[in-house]
This record gives sequence, C-alpha cells and structure tokens, in this order.
Amino acid sequence: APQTAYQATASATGPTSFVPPAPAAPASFTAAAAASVVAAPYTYAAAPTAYPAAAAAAAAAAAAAYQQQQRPPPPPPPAAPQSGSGRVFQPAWTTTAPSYQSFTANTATPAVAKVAPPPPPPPPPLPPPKLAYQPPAASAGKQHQQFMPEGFGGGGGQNWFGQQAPGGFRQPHHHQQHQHRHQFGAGGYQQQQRRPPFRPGGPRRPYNQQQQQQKQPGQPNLASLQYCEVCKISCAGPQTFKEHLNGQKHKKREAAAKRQQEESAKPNQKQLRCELCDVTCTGADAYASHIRGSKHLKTAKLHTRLGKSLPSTDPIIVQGSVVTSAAGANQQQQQSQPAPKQQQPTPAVKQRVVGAPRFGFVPGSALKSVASDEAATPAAGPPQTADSGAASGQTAPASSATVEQQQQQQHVELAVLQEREYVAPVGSEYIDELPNEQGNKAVQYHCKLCDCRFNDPHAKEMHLKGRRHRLQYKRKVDPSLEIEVKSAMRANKLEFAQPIWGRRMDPARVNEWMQRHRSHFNVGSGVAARQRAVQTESIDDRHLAAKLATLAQAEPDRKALDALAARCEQALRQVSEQLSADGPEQQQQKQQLNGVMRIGSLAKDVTLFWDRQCELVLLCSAWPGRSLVKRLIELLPDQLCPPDSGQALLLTVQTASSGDSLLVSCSDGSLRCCISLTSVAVRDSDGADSQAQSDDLLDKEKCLEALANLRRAKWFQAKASQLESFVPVVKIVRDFRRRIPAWAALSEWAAELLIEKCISSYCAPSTPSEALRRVLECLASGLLLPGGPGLLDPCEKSTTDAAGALSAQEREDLTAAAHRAVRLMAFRQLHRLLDMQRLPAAAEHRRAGGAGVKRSAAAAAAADDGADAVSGSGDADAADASAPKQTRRNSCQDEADPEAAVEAADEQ
Amino acid sequence: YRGSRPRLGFQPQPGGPARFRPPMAHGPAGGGGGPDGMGPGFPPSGPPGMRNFLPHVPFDFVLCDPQFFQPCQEAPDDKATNELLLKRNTDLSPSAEEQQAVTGLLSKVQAVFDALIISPDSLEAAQMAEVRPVGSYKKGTMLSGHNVADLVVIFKTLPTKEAVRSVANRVLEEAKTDAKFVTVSQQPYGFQVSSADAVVKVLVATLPANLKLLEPDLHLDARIQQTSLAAIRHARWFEENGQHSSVKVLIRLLKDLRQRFPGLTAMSPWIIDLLAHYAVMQNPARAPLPLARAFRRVLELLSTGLFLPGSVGIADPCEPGQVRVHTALTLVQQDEVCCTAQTLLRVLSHGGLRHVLGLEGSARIATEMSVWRGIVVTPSDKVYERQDEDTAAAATTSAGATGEGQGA
Repeated sequence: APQTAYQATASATGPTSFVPPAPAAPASFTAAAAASVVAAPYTYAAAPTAYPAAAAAAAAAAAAAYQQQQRPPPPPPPAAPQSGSGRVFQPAWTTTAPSYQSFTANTATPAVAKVAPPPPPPPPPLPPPKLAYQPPAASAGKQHQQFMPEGFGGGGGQNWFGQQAPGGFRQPHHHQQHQHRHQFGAGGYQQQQRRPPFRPGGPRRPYNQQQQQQKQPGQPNLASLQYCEVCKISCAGPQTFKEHLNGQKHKKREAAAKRQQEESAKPNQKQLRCELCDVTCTGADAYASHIRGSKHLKTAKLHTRLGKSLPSTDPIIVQGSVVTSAAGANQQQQQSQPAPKQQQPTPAVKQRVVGAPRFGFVPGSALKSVASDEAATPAAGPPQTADSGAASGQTAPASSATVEQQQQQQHVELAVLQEREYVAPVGSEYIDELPNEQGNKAVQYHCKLCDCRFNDPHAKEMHLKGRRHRLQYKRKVDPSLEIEVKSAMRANKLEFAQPIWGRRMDPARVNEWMQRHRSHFNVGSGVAARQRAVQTESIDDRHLAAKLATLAQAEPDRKALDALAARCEQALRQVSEQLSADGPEQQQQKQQLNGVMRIGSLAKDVTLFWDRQCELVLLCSAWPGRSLVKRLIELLPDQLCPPDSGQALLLTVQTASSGDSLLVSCSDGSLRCCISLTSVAVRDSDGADSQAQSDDLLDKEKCLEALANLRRAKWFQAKASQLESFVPVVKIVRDFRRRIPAWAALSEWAAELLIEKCISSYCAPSTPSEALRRVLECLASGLLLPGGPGLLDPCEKSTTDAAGALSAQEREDLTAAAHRAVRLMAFRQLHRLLDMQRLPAAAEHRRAGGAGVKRSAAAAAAADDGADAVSGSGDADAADASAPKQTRRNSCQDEADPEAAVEAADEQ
Repeated sequence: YRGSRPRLGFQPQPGGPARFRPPMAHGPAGGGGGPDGMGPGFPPSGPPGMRNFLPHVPFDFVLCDPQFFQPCQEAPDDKATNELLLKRNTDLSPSAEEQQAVTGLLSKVQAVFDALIISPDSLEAAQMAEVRPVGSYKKGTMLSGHNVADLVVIFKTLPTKEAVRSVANRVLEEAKTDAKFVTVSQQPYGFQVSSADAVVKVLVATLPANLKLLEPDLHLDARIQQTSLAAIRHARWFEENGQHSSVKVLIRLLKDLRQRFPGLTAMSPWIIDLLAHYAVMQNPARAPLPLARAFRRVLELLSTGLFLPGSVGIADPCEPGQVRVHTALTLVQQDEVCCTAQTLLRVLSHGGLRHVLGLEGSARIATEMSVWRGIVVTPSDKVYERQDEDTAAAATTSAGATGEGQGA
C-alpha cells in the first residue's frame, strides 16, 4: 500500500510525471483514474486485514469513496451453488495457472479458489504473514545471491568471449546498459523484501476469511460464482461455466496463454502489462485506456468480489523475449568471477516498475530475472535451509539502502518510455460533435478524416493519437507528419531484403504446379516417374557427396578440436580477468584483453579430416607487445590445466616461431591451437608512433593480418554461411588446394570469396555440383588472368584484390587447371577431378537401390548425355562445313525430352 | 528471379523471336509453363525442376551483376587492341575487285531467275516461287579469298535432278551471253556457277509444304533442302539482328580463327554468327560491347563451356523449340572447340593477341607449349574419352527401347 500510494502521488505531482507534460488535462485525468482503480485494493485491504496501511489510509479512503460514486452496485448474485462444480473448475485451473495453485498450497488455502458452498465454518487462525512469507523469502534470498555474481560479477562472461558468436566483441555502452538493468532487477527484489504487508503471491486470505469479509451487507451472494482463471470472468452457473470452458473464446485464450509460455513479448519492444487482466498493451495510452475500460473494471470488480487480491494498476514493463535457461545460469555461475567492468546484458529483461503486490507471477511467462525469480520462488515450495536464510539476511540490508534510488530510476524509465511513445494528437479540428439522436445529453463524435464515430471522449482521444487517424491525416492534411513504421512492417521489409534465391523452393508449390498441368503429363505414372527422377540427385552431386564423406572429419576429432579451442578461450578469459584485477589502473588500461574469436576452418565449420590446428585471435585494447605475450605464457598454463582439474590432456604453451603468437599444443602433439594477438589500435596508429616503440610491439603486418582474419570470419558468418551449397564447395576446394599443386597457390580467403561470389551471383538456388561448376567456370573465364577483373575484397577499405598475391605463372596454372576441370565436369568425369572411383550411373544406381524405375532413370541418363549427342541443324553456309547433318526435325526430337515423344505416342 | 538482379539474359530479343527460356526451371515463376516456344504436343516447358534435363548456365562476367565482380584494377586500355582487331578485319575483308566480281556474277544469275519467275512458261521443267540471296555475301561477312555467294531458289514444283539440270543449263546459256568463262557444275544442293574469280552457289529447295512428297532417289535430298530453307531464315534473322558493325567484324575475325585453328573448325558459320551476336549484344545494357571486349568475351564464353554438353548454349532463334546450336557438334568436337578456345584465351591474356589474330607466328600456339613474357602457357588437353560416349550411347539406346516398350 505505501508503494502504491507513493506511486500515485509521484505520478500526480512529482517531477517524473506519469504522463508527459504536454497536455494538462489528460495528465490530471490519468492520475484520477489511477486513483480510482487503485481504490479497489484499498477497499479490500483496509477493512479486514491486519496489514498496516497507515500511510495511505487517507488517500485510500478518499479513493474508495470516489470509486463508490463512480461505480454502479455489483450485479445481483447468480444462482444457487452447485456441489461438484469444483471439479469442473479444477482442470482449467491446474493447467493454466500453476503458479496460482502452488501459491495457494503455500498459504494453506484450499486448492480450489472457486467459492465453495456457503456454510462458513469458524474462521481458522490467520497464519501470521511473516511466517507464511519468510520461507519463500529465504529461498529468494539464496536465489538472489546466486544471481548476483552473474549480474555484477561479469557473469555474461560466458558469452563475453564469444565462444560461438564471432560478434562477441563488446561495446562499452552495452556494459552500462546492462548494469542498469541489473540494478533495476535487484531493486525490484529489494522492494519485495522490504514490504511485509504484501506477500509476493498477493495477500490472499484463507477461504473463510474471504467469506467473512464479503458477507458484508450489500455484498452479493458469491457462493454460486464460477470463476474462470484464464479468461478472468465469472459465470452465472455451472452450466454456463461448462459452456464457457468448452467455448471457442476460452480455448483461444488458453492456447494463447500456452503460446505465451513459449514465446514472450516481441524483442525490442517494450510493452505494458496489466497483470490483473493479463493484457499486454503496446503503449502507455493503450494501457491507460485499458485501465479505464469496462473490461478492466469488470475484472477488478469480480476479483474484489471473489476476494482475490488486486495487483496494482501500475503497468509492468515487459521487454525482450529471450529466456535464460537454468543450465546456462548454472554454467555462468561456475565460470563467473567478479569483474565489474565486464558484464553481459542478461537477455531476459522484465522489470517491475513498482514493487506492487502481484497476483502470482505472470502466468506462463518463463522470463527470469532477479526480480521475477524472486517472485517465483515462493511458489517453489519447501522452506529453505537456515543457511540460505542467513544469506538473505545478509543481502537484504545492504540492498535496501538503494531501494529509494532505484524506485526513482524506475519511474524515470517509465516516464521515458511514455515520453518516447507519446504522440501529440493531431487533427482534432476534424472531429465533429454530434448531438445524440435520442436527444439525451451524451454526445457522439465523428471524425471526418476517418469517417468513424465514437461515443466516448476517451475513445476520441485515443483515435486522435492512433495510427490509422494519423495515416489519414498525413494523407489528407499534412504530408509532413511523421508516422512511425510498424515493427511488423519493418520485419517484413527485412525479410524481403533477403535475396530471393537464398530461399528454398517450396515442394508444395511444385506439386501444385504439377496438379494444375496434369493434363499435359497425360498419365499418372509418368508424373510419378518424373518426380522420382527429380528427387534423385544428379550423378555429379552423388560424386560430391561421396567425396565429402571421405573428406569429413571424424566426429571425435572435431569435438576434440572444438574442446581445445573452448578451453583456450576460457583460459584466456580468466587470464583477462586476472590481468584486469591486478595491476594498477594504468597498467590495466593498457593490458586489457577485449575478446577472443575463432578464425579459420574451425570457426567456419569446414574442417576436414586432416585439420589438427585451430586458430584464435585475441583482441587487445592496445597494441600488444612481446611483454604481453610473455605474461600470457606465464599465466595461461595455470588456467589451461589447473592442478586440481584432473584434465587428462596436458597442454603446453609456447610462442610460435616468430614470437608473435602463442601456440597451445597438446602433450601428445596431436592438436594445436594458435593464438595470435592483435588490436584495433594497430590499424589506427600512425607510422611514427609505431616506430617509437617498435622494439617491444608485435609485428604490424601480423597484427593487421589477424585483424583481417577477424573481419573475414565475421564476413563468413554474416554472408556466406547461409548460402546454399556454400560449405560443401568450400570443402571440396580445400581438398583441391591440398591435392592439386596449381590450386595450392589460391589462398583460403580468396577461395571462399570466389565461391561466395559465384554462388550469390547465380540467379537460382544451386546444388553443390552446379555451384562447383560455376566456380570452375568463373576461374576458367579468366577471372585471375591479366585483364580479368580479379577478386575485389569486401573486407578491406581500399580496393584490394584478394588473390593479389598470386604470381602471373600461378594465375596461369590455376586457370589452366580450371579449364581442364570445367571440361571434366561437362563430360561427366568429375570423379577424375575428385580423384575417386567412378560411381555407377544413375540407372545402375537406382537398380541397385531396388527402386526399379527403369524408365525414368534411363530417360534421365538419356536427357543428360544423349541430348548432347549428335544432332544437327542446318545451314546453307554449312555446305562447306564437315559436320554431319541431320534433319531439323530429328534434331528437334533429340533435343526435346524423350518422354515427351513417348507420351505423344501414348496419346495417339 | 523476381529480385533486382537481371536474369541471365533470357529476355526475349527485341524484334526477334523469343530466344531463351529460363533454363533453370526451378519455380513456377521461372519455369512458367505454357507452351512457350514449344511446338504443339509438347508438355509445358517443365514444371519447376520437373524436366529431367536442366541446362546449365555457364558463368559469364558480362551477365553477372556488376556488384559481384568489380574490377580490382583499372581496366587496361583497349585502344591498341581495338585498332589491331580492326586492322585485322580490314585485311580479312574482300577487296573491291573481289566484291565486284561476286556481285556481277550474282546479279547475272539472279536476273536469270527473276526472268524465269516472271515468265514461268519459258521453262517446262520447273516453276519457281522466289529467289533469295543468303549466306555470308548477303550478311556482309565475306572473307577475302572466299568469293562465294549463295542463292536459294525455291521451286513450286518438286525439284527433280533433271529439273535442276535444265535450270542450270538455262542459267549457263544466259550467263554465257555476256561472260565467257562461266561454268556450271551440278551439286547435291543444286548447282554452282563459277566464273574466273567468283562462285555463285545456287541452292535449290521446294516449298515447305512439298517436303513430304520428296522421294530420295528422284529428287534432291530433303535434308539438304531443309538446310537451304533454314539459310533463308538465318539471312532474315541476321538482317534484323546482326547489322551492327561490331558483330560483322567479329564474325569475320572468328571465321578467320576457325580457318587457322583446326580445333575450331567444327563451328559452323551459323554458330559463329550467333556466337558473335551473343558476345556483342547479349548484355544487361543491351548496348553493343566494344569490339575488344567482345572478342575476349567470345573466348571466355567458349572457355567456360558455353558449347559443352549440358550447357544452355545458344538457342537457335530460327528453329521451333529449344534447339541449342552446339548440339550439332559431336562431343569430340565440343571438347576440341573448348580446348582451343581455352588455350587461346590464356595466350591472349598473356599478351599474345597478335599471334591469336594470325598477324605473327603460327597456329601451333593452340597445341604446343609457348612462353609469353616469361610465363609458360600449357595448352589444354582433351579430356573426352571414347568409352564415355559408349556408355552415353548405351544409355540413349536403352532409353529409347524402354520408352518404346512403354509406349506400346
């Protein structure tokens, strides 16, 4: 109650006003409205409970009076109670509102919240609120403690070093944001801790007490009320209730609630949530409108009558959609150590603006932050140990000091949110006030722009701010009006911005096409045969698949390599924490390690069986020097192989031959991890600076190369990895480069770039064999020869040829190799190029597979090979050419699908 | 296809018949459906991916979106190359005397036929419908030293060998009145009128409707007549599409290449016409490419396998359906053409333009190792193996057999 009172006053008077300052009238109105709605819990809370509400008593009374005036008396009580209706109710309850159920268990109320048949037994003693509350609080405290290091102790560190994502480099402003959020989160928790009157699950009294309270004069008989938890409505009788449960509306809502469990609010969009009605509004206006609306009032009234607690009307800001898994949290906890400067924003963000008591927690939302975890904990069940209780005792006082401040911040944030959303109403001059046709006082409003009518001034106001009205206004009145682009539309645009050839063809569409043109295909079996023929991949693709299978790295090897890289990353992160923890401020600034990222084949997931080395790039804040390398060599082994870790594999750290990079190798020499150091500062530094300190600093070229590798790895993730057929072709070309001398000259980066360009410049999705043929053709058409365009490097600012390092002879040899390869592919001799056994032709393959579609297989072979066999087209000049001649008719038939001829014969 | 990227040159030619069908029939948008270009009785051009044979579109810098292959260096100056090509073209063009000799002979022969058409009664043996000049003379792509003009004569009657002989005699009589050393020799395609410095080939054909009535031992060969009729279509197409001078120059240069390099012999004049036109005109801007670029492009196209099995190649604009012109070549020839072009492309890139054009050196550069500015160019070797043809042939036969079985 003090909280809400505070909120109410603050919103009315304080500097962080609830509604942005522009229009005075709405602001005052909102405050009043808020007060009126807030009154509901007050009427309820003030009378029967022992909870202190002293501070707000006067305000509450006033508000209650106000509300009494405003609202008509509750509807007459429904029909007589039914025995057994509890059973009807139970399923819906348990399935959709588990939180509620567990809460009731906690507070020793009957599991059925529906108001049972009337005979009120003598009131059992009210469990002391403290007692009922404390155990969950203790557990919450423990939870809190567990999460604290995650929040403040650089818990994001798991992602921090970007184990998977190459975009793991941190921007400073992220840290700050993150810190804010966590303060808020903690604050929410603290508030809850401090306010004894409200239990987190809402101040629910046992059943009989409710009865007592509501058996006041003038209260309707509630016994027969059937309440649906999901839809927040009451039904007059069990029959109606049953019908409701079977009804469309209820099922829809149930489904929606379930869905919400899986996915929550849209990312990047803050939403305001009314806990009571379980309604999410996209803006402050919409929320205010909801609070004013009849639906909300009805629900509030119902809840009051049922004796349920009313949550505050203050909105709950819901934001983000990522759910942190418990496993992830645990892992973070293990790995994290205090490193205040480096935090990762926890993805799940849900903030309670005000710590008002809430009714359970958001049903179905799996979001977790410190605050919501705390809220959820009471439902978790058994009391915690004394140990955790002590822990909570420790944290509580420390954090309560900042509660006030945090509340302020939260208000600021809400205000900011509202301000951002605030749109000035436009075009009020286009609203006509019409006298009501019935001739009574109420007026109707008519918007001339949109041609719509409202009875309610609020609705009018909402309309003036609404998107539709603004669009009309923009179109008809003022084209300069700015209208925010809908996020859904933005998402659509993004989707369509993607190249269309990146998408797969939908087989359903293919089938549909087949159906439409069925008559052309004459017979069903023919259709089936064709489909089968298409489904089987071409012989080239089968060769490639077979080759890739032989090239693939064994799964244990790959995992070992992956594990080695992960260990190195983790060790580097810990070393980074050590570095930043010790050392004075200056030193710290200098030696900070900013991130580590995988490059090379492991990062791109194109490892082949011979890969024994993974590569990492360590990004430092300043130009790394040899001293840093030495320091790392000192520190790394301890982190890589902690003495007590029992790691089977011993790792040794040494400098690479040049002294510029680190080489972590397994004791058995099988796997190696090469860590090169670099910094963005290297690129920005001018020549003079580097000259001055060149004795210590690492070689500039090497550092720049490492930076370039970082960009390339990012490029790979962003552009290339989604391309169809890209990865297989990269693997095949890696094999070429290893096996064929002419290909060896082509650098890995140049090869990848070439492949990407070839595939993405193709107009249609391509199979691996098509993509490979295109790559070969691209080389064959003289890409790298003098006079050819070369490979423009997208990862460099200046115009750079990614294959610029090739010598003229290497270019010539590579092109010659590609020339031969093109013809090998065209003449169905890919196996020679791949250096493998020739696979059986499609027909034989099919026969061996037992499918036995001889006809289509043979037809496919004929179309592949035979269509290119001898056929003729005439020419007069060709009289002096020696090519064999055939009639045009013949060539025409040869050219066409052999099946077409067959089918034509069928028709005859 | 619906994206901003230009489709790889499959828009129908302005003013010409639809030349290309999207080769990758992967979706309803592309494969479309409906009998586009296919004759009656054929199924629509394939549901998405449903045709068994999907031709491959070879890589081509010109048709690629420029964003992908922006040149890294400044494009080398093409001026010198252009001049050299034009010079070579002048060398190859027939001199004024040669031109005059052919024109003179041709106009005489044509006059005879004109007279025969106007007064059909003057010759019992045959009735003539029309006479048309075709071939390189008509197209203006004659080479020097190859003074041959082609004339197609269409008979209303069936061209028996006797009828052709009597027409030839009539032409000889008429021609002898004002030129002394004219001879006429009968050929499978009709007859040939030769003077001292020029030749006119008279290709005899009948009306297309009569082709069915031909009998092999009585009349001229039906296939040859069909090629003669096709020649008329080619000449007409060229008149509409090939009038740009770059195209003509390029055709002349390519014909010269074909004469000098044995590997390219398999390319018929019609293929060369189409290839030259494609290289010059087939680009996103629809503006003719500069000559030097087009010349290099021809070699690039051949190198990437435009005329290899499975490639989309160039569809014959004068044939119904999708006849890819290079399918007239045998697999061995396709390999040879590609090989030679690949070697020439590398020689050209390393500064061997004069050798490629035949201004210096010999044709051995296409078959023997050569050194250019210290860079060794190894000629491409043939990869096609006979045994593959056997299997391919076997596959074709079995397909035919099975197909017939099913049809029965």
